[in-house]
Amino acid sequence: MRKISYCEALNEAMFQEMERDPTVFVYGIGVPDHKRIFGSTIGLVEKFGPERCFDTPLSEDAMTGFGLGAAINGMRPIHIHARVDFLLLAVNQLANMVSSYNYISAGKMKIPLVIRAIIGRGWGQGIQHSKSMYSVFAHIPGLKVVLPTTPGDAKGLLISAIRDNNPVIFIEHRWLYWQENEVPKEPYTIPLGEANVLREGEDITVVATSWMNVEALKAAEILDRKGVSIEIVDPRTIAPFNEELIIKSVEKTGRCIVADNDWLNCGFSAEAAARVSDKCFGKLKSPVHRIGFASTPCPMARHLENEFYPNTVNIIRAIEKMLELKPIDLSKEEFYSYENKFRGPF
Amino acid sequence: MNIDKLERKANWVRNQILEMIVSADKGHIGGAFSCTDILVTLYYGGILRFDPNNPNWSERDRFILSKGHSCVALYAILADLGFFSISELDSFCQKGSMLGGHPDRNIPGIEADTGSLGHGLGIAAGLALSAKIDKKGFMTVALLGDGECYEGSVWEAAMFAGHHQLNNLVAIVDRNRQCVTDFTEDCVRLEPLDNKWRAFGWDVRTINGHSFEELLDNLKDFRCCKSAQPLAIIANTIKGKGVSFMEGKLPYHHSIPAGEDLKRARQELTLNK
Repeated sequence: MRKISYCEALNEAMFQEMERDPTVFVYGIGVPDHKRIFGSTIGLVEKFGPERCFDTPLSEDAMTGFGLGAAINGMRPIHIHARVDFLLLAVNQLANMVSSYNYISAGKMKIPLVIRAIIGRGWGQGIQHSKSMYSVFAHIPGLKVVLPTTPGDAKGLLISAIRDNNPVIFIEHRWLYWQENEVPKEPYTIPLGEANVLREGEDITVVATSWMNVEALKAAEILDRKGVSIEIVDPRTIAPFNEELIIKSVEKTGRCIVADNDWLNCGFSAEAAARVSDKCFGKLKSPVHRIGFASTPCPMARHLENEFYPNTVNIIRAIEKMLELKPIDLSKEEFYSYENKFRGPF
Repeated sequence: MNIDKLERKANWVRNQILEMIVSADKGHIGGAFSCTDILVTLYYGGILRFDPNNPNWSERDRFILSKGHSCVALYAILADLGFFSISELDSFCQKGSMLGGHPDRNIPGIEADTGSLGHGLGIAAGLALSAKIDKKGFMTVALLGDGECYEGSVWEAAMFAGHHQLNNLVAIVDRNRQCVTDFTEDCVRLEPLDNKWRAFGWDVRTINGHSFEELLDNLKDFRCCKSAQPLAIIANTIKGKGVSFMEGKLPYHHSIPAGEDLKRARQELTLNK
């Protein structure tokens, strides 16, 4: 099977859906500009014209209202935000309007609106370009929140999101864009609300979101050489959050670490830990441990930023502690960074 | 400073901007060049009151760079005036520098952390209203991008300032006719921009933002408060002003010139000295 990047998979999903369904259109700041949302909207304006792929101003709240209006009128808009941080300007529309329209219309109104928002790092991007925020959206009933990790997930989940009749927040980590993997050429869907076991193991379950799956995989590779077997479960959709596969995994391993690409307090990691503690009570050999951002705004300086973001080392040390192992020497290991990009595959 | 000196100073600032951005390999050159002449007029044309040795002087005028991504121009000016050492400019956007890609209050002379667009005018209106409540004589000036005027919060603040007759508040719009990704009139029309401000209760003057004569003429009396209304100045400018191949070109919102382009940019800015 041919291999394509995560970015190309997103592009292909939109391309194929726009070809299939004339009600699908794409809009947002920079969608048709020379950078094309890090390359993910390449070719759309050329193929489908400026009526179905158009730039919008810095008017996030109004533009989200526009998406709602178009969606309840039978269109399937895809609104793209190159930075999730500024999607916060549209929270009134999301929390008070978009999320609840279906409910207040007694289910009569369908809201097939997809909001793609990019999270993650370059480096040194500071407080306003470094948030994740997906837990905030997942907190609001009526919004679906999806976090694809692999290129295959990116395509299949985006097509599902576009075809879904509910508003979907689709969160893409910038550092996942470069990875390549086998992705079917033809359109396909992956159901929203299904987790994925990214790696099978016996000793401990790591529940990881988005980029943290890459860090967890690296940790698993290193610890595998020491005879520790890690199972990685990627929830992929955090609203609705189906914990079934995670519970099954923890019932097998008896141990669980949640590695979330976000702050810990009131975040998805707390939700996942609560569900595991609830459902696996009595089968857990130790308390669920959580790993996430430091509880500060994201610092600008490189060395502080490195401390802010959770990484492979944090995961390895947490596992060692949980399994009462001596810390292994990591001085010879190479980790992923802005310079040393993860190029896949999982 | 007379106009000849202001022009030379603006040329010096543009040279600093170019070198800082090239050295850091990041920064927003187009919008910094478009607002350079406005900033030079404010700081060297006898308009703003400030004291580099006492940046928090209570009577200073408050200047808010609401289009925070143009801070590289302001950094050069603040350093030149002595708010901090000129050698700091070499560290722009480098590890350990206090001069980041967007301004913050740790930097002497910076009044507000900005970068996320649409917030400066609200802060400025708060400063202006508090000056009236405290019976202070300082003025508050906010420099906005025209693309920034797409944010609804700008107009919420504008309505508030007009209602409260904040005639100690000036909003200057750097009208370079481009936003980050597009030409404003192609993206969503801003025109008639002057009448929009007027309708929100502001006095409005539309000027050439690269003419020191017009900038000085329209800013020199701003402290006299002849009008009961806040003042909006729509300064028509050119994004990338000063380097021919950047002028009016969309990629130079934040592209960095290199190779032959860099050589040519340096030459053009040198010729203007």
